Amino acid sequence: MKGADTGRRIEVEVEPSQLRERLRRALEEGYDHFIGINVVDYPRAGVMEVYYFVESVQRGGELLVVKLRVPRENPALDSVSDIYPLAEYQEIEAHEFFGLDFRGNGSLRKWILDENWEGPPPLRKDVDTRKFVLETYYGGQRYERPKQEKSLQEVVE
Amino acid sequence: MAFLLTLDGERILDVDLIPGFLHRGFEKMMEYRRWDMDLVMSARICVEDPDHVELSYTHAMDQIFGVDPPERAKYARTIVAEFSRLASHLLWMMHFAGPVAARYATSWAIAAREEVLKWFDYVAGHRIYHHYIYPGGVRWNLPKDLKERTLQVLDRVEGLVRDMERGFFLHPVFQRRARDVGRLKASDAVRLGATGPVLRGSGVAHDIRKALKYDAYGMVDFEIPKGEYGDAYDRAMVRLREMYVSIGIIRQAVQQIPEEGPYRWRLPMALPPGEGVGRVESARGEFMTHIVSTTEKPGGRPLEPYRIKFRGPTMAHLTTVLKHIVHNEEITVADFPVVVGSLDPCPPDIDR
Repeated sequence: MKGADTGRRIEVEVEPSQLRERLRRALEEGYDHFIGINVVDYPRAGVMEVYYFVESVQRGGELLVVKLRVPRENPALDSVSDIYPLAEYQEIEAHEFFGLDFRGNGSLRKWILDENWEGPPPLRKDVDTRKFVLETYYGGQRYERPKQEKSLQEVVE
Repeated sequence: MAFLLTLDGERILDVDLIPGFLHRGFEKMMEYRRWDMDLVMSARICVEDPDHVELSYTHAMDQIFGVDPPERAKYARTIVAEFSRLASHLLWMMHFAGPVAARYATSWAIAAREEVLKWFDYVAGHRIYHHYIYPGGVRWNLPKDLKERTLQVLDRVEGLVRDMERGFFLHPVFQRRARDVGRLKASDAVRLGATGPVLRGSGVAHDIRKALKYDAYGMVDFEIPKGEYGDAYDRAMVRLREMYVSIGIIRQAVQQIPEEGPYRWRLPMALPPGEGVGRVESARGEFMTHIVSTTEKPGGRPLEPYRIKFRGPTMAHLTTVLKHIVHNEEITVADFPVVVGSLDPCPPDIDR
């Protein structure tokens, strides 16, 4: 690969049903360090791509990416928080921002978005957050600075 | 960012992280902006250590454009990234010395950091957010008197860090305060997803700089400091020794950097479809940026990335690692700032 080779990785694609089995095998193979979960939403194709990043400390930082596709309508996956403890919080994040459901993760809740977002999962591609915020919180008005009744010159005087 | 503590008298039984309002929605905002604007936004994700976020973003972009930066830019990136680590560790020392009641040390740390910030002002024109690292190389050419001036700055900073080592890190009062507080075993640190000085403080010599040898790290010689017991004191000492290591890396890099040559390849404005993963060893641990660029765009403009995901080190440290420490050790309310301080959190990592 050209460029900085920090992107060197092994990519495998699995079916959603094989996810737990594949990650458990990865842990046995030495990929002991969980990095994170990324979700990419494709509304036209009706799918979401979910990436699991795991790294091996013993093998000098080798990166394994497990990739899978879930239907957009009913996105549900098995939780891997019992295999990798950090996945519990990464799954909460994916749940909040993309509406993914992780079976077996008991702590799915509003966490980062708690008390400040009452709406559809904001990072989905078909959610226009700007429009939603304008309609919900600003009554359809454009968000603008309140007009100053006095000019700056008058305030100074 | 706040913590919800469950107490039994003075003892902390459980801790829950309540993420806060620092920044919000960066990943979404970046999908509506051009890739060169996103670079400027990315630095805001970690105020204390902005260059490493830029660097990981830049690595991912370099892969999407399929470009290998010029030799001179590789060294420039390494120098800037190490100065950023120095500035970050010095700011951490300010945050950490306060809770252990060593107010004098906070002023020393800020005095030393000021020297680093002045250096950034001299090279990049900015003190806090530098936007110096750029896909394809670095944004500006390096100044002509780089070597002399950088070596002078390093001498001053190293003198101040040596003072801090004698006056603060090796002080018996500080040793007694931080020893045996917040212990983390090596196997647990790996399992719970700890990275950076927290992982190395537990005795695991894992460093992305050494493992992947990105930019000019393959061409300089440096060691990876590690701790033994994995307590707050070990983590603090790892950071102290990392400051010396950073100074050593910069000294070698300014000697080796080619005098002449290009500093940046000009890139096209249109973003080709592709995927990039940039992983760097930031001051707090592993920072990863995953960028996906596709032709499937609602507006049809091939200028914005389709999706950007940032993975910062703080989430692991403040959730799984902190919970583990609190559950397995008798942590009192008075110990809590020492434990959290030794994990060196950067709130915008979580609140992005």
